[in-house]
Amino acid sequence: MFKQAILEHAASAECSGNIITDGTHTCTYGELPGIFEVLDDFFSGTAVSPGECVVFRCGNSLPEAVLLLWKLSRERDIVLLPRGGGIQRELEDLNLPEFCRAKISVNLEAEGLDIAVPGSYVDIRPNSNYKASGEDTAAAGTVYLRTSGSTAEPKLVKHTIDKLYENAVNCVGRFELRAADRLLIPVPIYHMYAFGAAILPGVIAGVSMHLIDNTNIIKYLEREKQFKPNVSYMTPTLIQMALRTRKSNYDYRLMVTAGDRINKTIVEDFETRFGKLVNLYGSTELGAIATSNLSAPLETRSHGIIEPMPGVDIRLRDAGKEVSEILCRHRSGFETYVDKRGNRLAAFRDGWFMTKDLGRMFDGNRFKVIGRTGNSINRSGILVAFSEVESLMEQGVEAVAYVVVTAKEGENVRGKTLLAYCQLKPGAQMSDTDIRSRCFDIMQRHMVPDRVKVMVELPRLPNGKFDRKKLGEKNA
Amino acid sequence: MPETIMDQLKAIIADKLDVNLKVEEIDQNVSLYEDGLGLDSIAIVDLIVSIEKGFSITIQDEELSADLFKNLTTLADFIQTKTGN
Repeated sequence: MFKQAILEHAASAECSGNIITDGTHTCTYGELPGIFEVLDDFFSGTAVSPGECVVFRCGNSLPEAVLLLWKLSRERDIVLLPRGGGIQRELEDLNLPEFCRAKISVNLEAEGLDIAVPGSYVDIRPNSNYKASGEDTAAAGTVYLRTSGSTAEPKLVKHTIDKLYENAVNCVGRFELRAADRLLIPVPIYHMYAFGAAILPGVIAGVSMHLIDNTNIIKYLEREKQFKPNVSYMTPTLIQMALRTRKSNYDYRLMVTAGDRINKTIVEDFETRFGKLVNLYGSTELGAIATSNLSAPLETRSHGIIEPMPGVDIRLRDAGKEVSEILCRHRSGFETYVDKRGNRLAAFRDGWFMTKDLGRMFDGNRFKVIGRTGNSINRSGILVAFSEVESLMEQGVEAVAYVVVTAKEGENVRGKTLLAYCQLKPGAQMSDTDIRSRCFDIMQRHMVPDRVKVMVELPRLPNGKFDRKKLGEKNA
Repeated sequence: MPETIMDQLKAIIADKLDVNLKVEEIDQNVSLYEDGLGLDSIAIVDLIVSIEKGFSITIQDEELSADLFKNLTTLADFIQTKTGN
């Protein structure tokens, strides 16, 4: 389906000259089929066979995007992970899925990198975790995405390419994407937000796209000036950055944001200066679930009331309550979770997906997301599971035996305040400050706890589990 | 260039930005970004706002460029020009 879309765009007068760029490298839709054929030849000469699943580490560069689109167009199975780097990537490499024999990445530092010469940028290495098995992995046309689960025991979200296509078609319709649009994508394409709601719909619509890697306000402004987009994908953090630093206005046809609902005053201020802002509600599992209505007045949109996409049913777990967990049934959502061995894990309850978000229903199947249940929060637009931060700290901070992470109401610019309570190993000594300092080395910035507190002993429940509630009460 | 602008910039980074750097660790000639001092996108915004407040200047959008924020030396030179110091 993606192959067909790209072939059509390559042949059409309207789209063939439209570009995909990262500011350094650029290609047109017209060039893509030829580049894909070169990639076919390249990979046929490697040990990676078409039917096997590979890990693909991806950032927002054109070579990475082209490789990703090639894999989708050839319906090759991939586990899509962030490019990452440093110690965190090393830790993650220890837990790569066992059903992937190889891991593929792009060497962006390669001299003479040429999109049309895969040997100049494609890096293929064996996955030291690989174990041959007969489990649920030989399924052509599958994309696995990572959830914000524990790094020690990753849970993968299994999508079919067909359903990802349908999900993206929903976004094309809802955002009214046309070939003449120019999309600026400053959010990472390995993450479902930009993957499912930006780059895939963009390809289906044949729009020009500019990817920004490691976005900051300076890069954003420079690329905006060069590329002249009319659609952009934001997060609450990017919105705050723009309002805090930008002196000039810009007229976007549409700006999409995803993540926590934004304060009404901020939405109004932002729209006055930059154009229509639409909130997208989605998840790694279900892709795009709902959005605010583009035609609705600002008053309604800024209240956070959203409408489901086609093929999506929404209900509350406790129908009798005003606010309860949102359950979702999505025609084009994921198939299942799998563990690193490829074993299927429980995903639905009576056909419904438990979103772990709290919501309130309105007339006409509209609803509003109130907040999160469970042990995770949104930070800088990315979902952070407490268990992942705990795991990284327990693995990466020598002196620490146990960690319990909680969140506190009262937000900072990244989101809610993240606190880590640590119990040290017997005989070990390390200060709160030093532990937090170490966190900067071992995890991505948005995961670093805002405060660390060392305790002699973390409180436990009678069953031996840590008493998160008691620690949460300390935050109040 | 007066030493005080550079001192003030280093103090802003060490004291006002949550970036886990001490003044003596800040190399004024390395990149501010991930490949140097390690300022992420939020730290860059905090830096811009702190500079504007601290030096009573306004940095226009067209003045915000990767070259300006290449390192603290280029930033300090810019501030000196803006403040006329």
